[in-house]
Amino acid sequence: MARYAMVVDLNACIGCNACMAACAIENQTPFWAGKWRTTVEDIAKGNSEDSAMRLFFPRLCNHCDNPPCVTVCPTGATYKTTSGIVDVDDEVCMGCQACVLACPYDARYGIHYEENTEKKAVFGEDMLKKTRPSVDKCNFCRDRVEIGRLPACVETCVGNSRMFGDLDNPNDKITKIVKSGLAQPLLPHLGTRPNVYYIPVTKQAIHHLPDADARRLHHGHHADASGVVAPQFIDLSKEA
Amino acid sequence: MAWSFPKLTRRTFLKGSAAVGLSGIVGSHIANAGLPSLSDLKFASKKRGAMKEKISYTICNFCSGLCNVEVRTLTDGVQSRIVKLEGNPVSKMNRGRVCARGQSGLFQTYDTDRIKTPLIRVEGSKRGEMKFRKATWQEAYEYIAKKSKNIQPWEWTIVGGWSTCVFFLNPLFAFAHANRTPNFLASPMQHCVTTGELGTDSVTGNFKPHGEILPNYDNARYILLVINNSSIAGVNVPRAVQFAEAKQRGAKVVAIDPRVSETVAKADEWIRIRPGTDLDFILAIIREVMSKDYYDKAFCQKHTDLSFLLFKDGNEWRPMTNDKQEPLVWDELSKSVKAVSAYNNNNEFDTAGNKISPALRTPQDLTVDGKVVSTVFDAQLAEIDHCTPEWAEKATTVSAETVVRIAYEFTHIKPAIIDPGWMGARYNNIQMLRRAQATLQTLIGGIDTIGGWVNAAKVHKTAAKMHEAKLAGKTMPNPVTSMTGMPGWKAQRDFFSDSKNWEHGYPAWNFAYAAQEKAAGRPYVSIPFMADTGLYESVDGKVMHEGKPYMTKAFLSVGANPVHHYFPEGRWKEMLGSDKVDLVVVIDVLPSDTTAYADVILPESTYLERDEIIIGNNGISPDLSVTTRFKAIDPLYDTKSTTDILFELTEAISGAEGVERLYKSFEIMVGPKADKAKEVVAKFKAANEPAPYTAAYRQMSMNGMAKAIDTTPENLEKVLREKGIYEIDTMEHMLEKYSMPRKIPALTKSGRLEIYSSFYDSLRVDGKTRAPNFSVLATAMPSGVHGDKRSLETLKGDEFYFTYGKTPTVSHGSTNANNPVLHAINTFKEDIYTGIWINDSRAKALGIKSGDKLKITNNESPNLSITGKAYVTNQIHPDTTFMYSSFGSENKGLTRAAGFGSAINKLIGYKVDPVVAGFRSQEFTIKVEKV
Repeated sequence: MARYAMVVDLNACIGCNACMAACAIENQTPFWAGKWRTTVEDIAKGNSEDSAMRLFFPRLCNHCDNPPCVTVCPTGATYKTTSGIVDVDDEVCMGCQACVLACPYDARYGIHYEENTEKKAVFGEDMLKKTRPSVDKCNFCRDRVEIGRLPACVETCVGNSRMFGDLDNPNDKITKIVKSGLAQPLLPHLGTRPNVYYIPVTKQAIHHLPDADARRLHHGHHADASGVVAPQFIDLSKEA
Repeated sequence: MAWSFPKLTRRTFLKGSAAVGLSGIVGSHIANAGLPSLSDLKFASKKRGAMKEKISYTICNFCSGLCNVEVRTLTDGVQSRIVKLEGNPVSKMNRGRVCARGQSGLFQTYDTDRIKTPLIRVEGSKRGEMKFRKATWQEAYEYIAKKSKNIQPWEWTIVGGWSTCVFFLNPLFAFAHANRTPNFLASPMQHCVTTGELGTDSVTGNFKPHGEILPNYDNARYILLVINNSSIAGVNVPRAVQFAEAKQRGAKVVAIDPRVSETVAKADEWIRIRPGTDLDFILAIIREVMSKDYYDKAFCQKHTDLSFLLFKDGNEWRPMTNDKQEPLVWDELSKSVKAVSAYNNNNEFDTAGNKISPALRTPQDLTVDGKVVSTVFDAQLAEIDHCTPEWAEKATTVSAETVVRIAYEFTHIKPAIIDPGWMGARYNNIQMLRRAQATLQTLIGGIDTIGGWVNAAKVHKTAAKMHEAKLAGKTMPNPVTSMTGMPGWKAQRDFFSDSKNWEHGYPAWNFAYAAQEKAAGRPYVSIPFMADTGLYESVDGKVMHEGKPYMTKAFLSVGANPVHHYFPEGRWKEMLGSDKVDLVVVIDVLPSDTTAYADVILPESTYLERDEIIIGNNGISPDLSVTTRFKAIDPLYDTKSTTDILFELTEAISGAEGVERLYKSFEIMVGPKADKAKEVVAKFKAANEPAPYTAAYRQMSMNGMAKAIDTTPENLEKVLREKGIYEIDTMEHMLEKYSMPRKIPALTKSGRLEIYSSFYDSLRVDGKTRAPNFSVLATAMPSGVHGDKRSLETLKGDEFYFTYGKTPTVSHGSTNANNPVLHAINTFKEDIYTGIWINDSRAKALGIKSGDKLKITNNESPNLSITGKAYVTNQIHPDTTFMYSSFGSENKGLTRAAGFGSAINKLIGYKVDPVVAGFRSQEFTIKVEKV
């Protein structure tokens, strides 16, 4: 038994996209069709030249403890393992994509027939992990984790922004971070009880700024036109 | 029905759901949706579980960070396929991580666009048309042999790319030597190495392309960054992992940049500076630090030349020495002038052995031999005394208070690092900027120390050897390749520039051109080593050597892509396409823009398909360790390793005699003995080894390295196979023994860190300083955008500065923009990565919105212009625009990269500095218009 979780330190993500590449290759996603299990959004923040901020925002399945995707899945293809991983069985998935619609984190996509065929050429027919069209998503690199390796994105994270661990283990680094309240999940009010946590950007300043605090984001969620939901930023220095 | 998979996402559903019910959308979709084809229904069998996993180790090939890489290959005994790359977990450099390029490297090998056989340009077609026919290696070599018959050795020019520079520099030197070709052009020199790093190196004495300094961010508490996104988040993993570590440990990061680069995004403080004025900012900091005594006094006294006395000879500063050419200092203990050793790592004792305390500041009007003298410290401070924070503010747009505060923080939060910077070739004053940065790091004693700049282990080892030889009065054997630092670089440039080293009597054309221009009283470059200055003129027949035209008639490009990464591209297309050029041979993996201009393309095996002949030091690692490449799979196509190509090409160009010479040149420049090499090559040939030269030199290198590190070749190979890295000594031990100049002399002339530069002193002409670039002391000079004036005005209307930089996903000018995974990432970020960044308030005034098509035109050369889409942002200084330099490949053979984004070298004109022909690639303003 375990409760796997990820903590993403937004102060450390340098926007290098190594995780996107690592994940796409490890999990053989149709990247050529713009389908990724994880992405790093490059978000411009601040509404004046004095509050400019560039935020790299890694996104992935949040492996909720109350996952809406599992609730809506009519075939049982989407399920949650005893170690907390939400996974999809490609042999059982019928492709209705109810889960894609249900996920508030936009973490799922369908692999279509033609993409499934293309995969054979791109990754090598005999090397495929999943061989059927199905809905696809991050599964914390379950096959790696089960043999004691880190998820591909975590292993290669150049900025050490992504940290992976077991919340059932009180001595795990990420358990301590989560317990401290330093890291927070996305959209907690939906009751999804996510297992991906974010350490918000703490403090940045621009030299000519009259108010050094102006670069911090305000409380609350920011959903921009593309539907991207940025994490909640909290001024830690004031909270403490 | 479910598998008709409507092309429906949650977003489009949400947009349309109010008007049309879900079933309506699905229904209408099904009506015209293609049902799965028969082949789509043939799912792959799940064979993966039955495959065996094999792990091997290699070195990444996509930048000079040289990350250690772990390769996973699946095999069933018949077929093998590389499935995943990771950072080597035991590597102390990249620490188990690699960037997106490193991750995606296997898709270079599996790129369907690869050059799969030798290609010969179709008869009747023109260079640039990319019309080729398949050929065998033998045909290709015969073609080259026939065409090169009437080409003299000096009429060849070799263009080495960044990948060959790192791994094949010495073999390529040997190749040039054996084929009697003095002409060697290396692409990163004018972009990065000489232009910027030489400024740094003039202070520290180092010189090793990209390989000398890895700042020890791990232990730094304060990090100051100036024009160096590429060395950190641009991305260089060995530096970035440490940088991130420092940040997570709480180091303060201050970044000076006109734009919120990936690195600036991680800074605690962004200093938004006007382009080209960084030198003003740093000089003002130095002035603060020196005038307020914020420096590490003990270190400066002991290990720098700051206490050495100078005198003024007219307008020129000169060292005050005794008759033995030993520097003089003012001793604070005896209150008298003393001599110190001309070559030493410290100034603790005078030449008579007395303990001294050399003063940084002298008593007023101190005279020696009737001449008024001043310490280097006082002279340097006087040189920049006008560079006040207020003076800097006028150009930089950064407040004077900020300068004062940063100067205080940098010297009081310890340890601190000002990153030496990378790929800064932008303006006439960049070399001076890098030198000023090295001066600042010297002032706080942060050179070759924990929490400061740390030299690569290989530099330490070689410097120690050179020091021993010097003490023993010996010269190093094979100086061209056996030395490091400034002396090593001097040996190399002396070799290629001196006509006496070439039996045909021709030095490299760049030196012949410089001599010609100097003699004619025209502007010229002092050290044009490996630079392109004179190449255009040489192709055109305008370079004369001893009364005869010095022509360039043939090119060999090895892993380089000059059409894409030199400035401007039109110049290269014209040269390579010229009728006066008889032969262009290109060695590459993918059809770069340059391959389109080849007569013959020779396909190279990728780094995952070859064993490397070099068993060498682990890149820039400050820990002493040895590494190499092991091939993970056999070459997929009819490709060869570079070493084999170099030998076979030599036979085609210079015949059997040439091959004999190449064995000898390898002995001198690479190591293994010629006679033995011939024997081993013959053995591998007899055994039908497909890459006999590579196999032979690999084996001999393994033996040679094992001997050097006191182990058996079998054990060395075993450890390298199992771990990828053979560790010998730690950074801490290396610093204890070889820290320069704390433990051994630096690689400068004096052995100390030099603020009065003996290097620039050596470039004086008739005792006079040619231009501010050559100043013996760090001095103020403008960027050059406004000629000899400082950039003090706010730009208005449609006029902007132009700046550029690297994406983390594509190495400068390389074909990895075509890598399928990287291309997919670039597409995901297309607006930011291919956009023309423009300040939001300026854009608004011009009616420009994100996504609008813009034409930008070089105001200095209006025939140069490019188009692109606007990326309107508040993340950039109002005076400037920015573009990533990674895109705009043209060769349609690159099916993904071709036509993606615009190439900056269509906008940038030809302009080089007078020291080393460094590119002044941002020295112009642009006109922005909506089209």
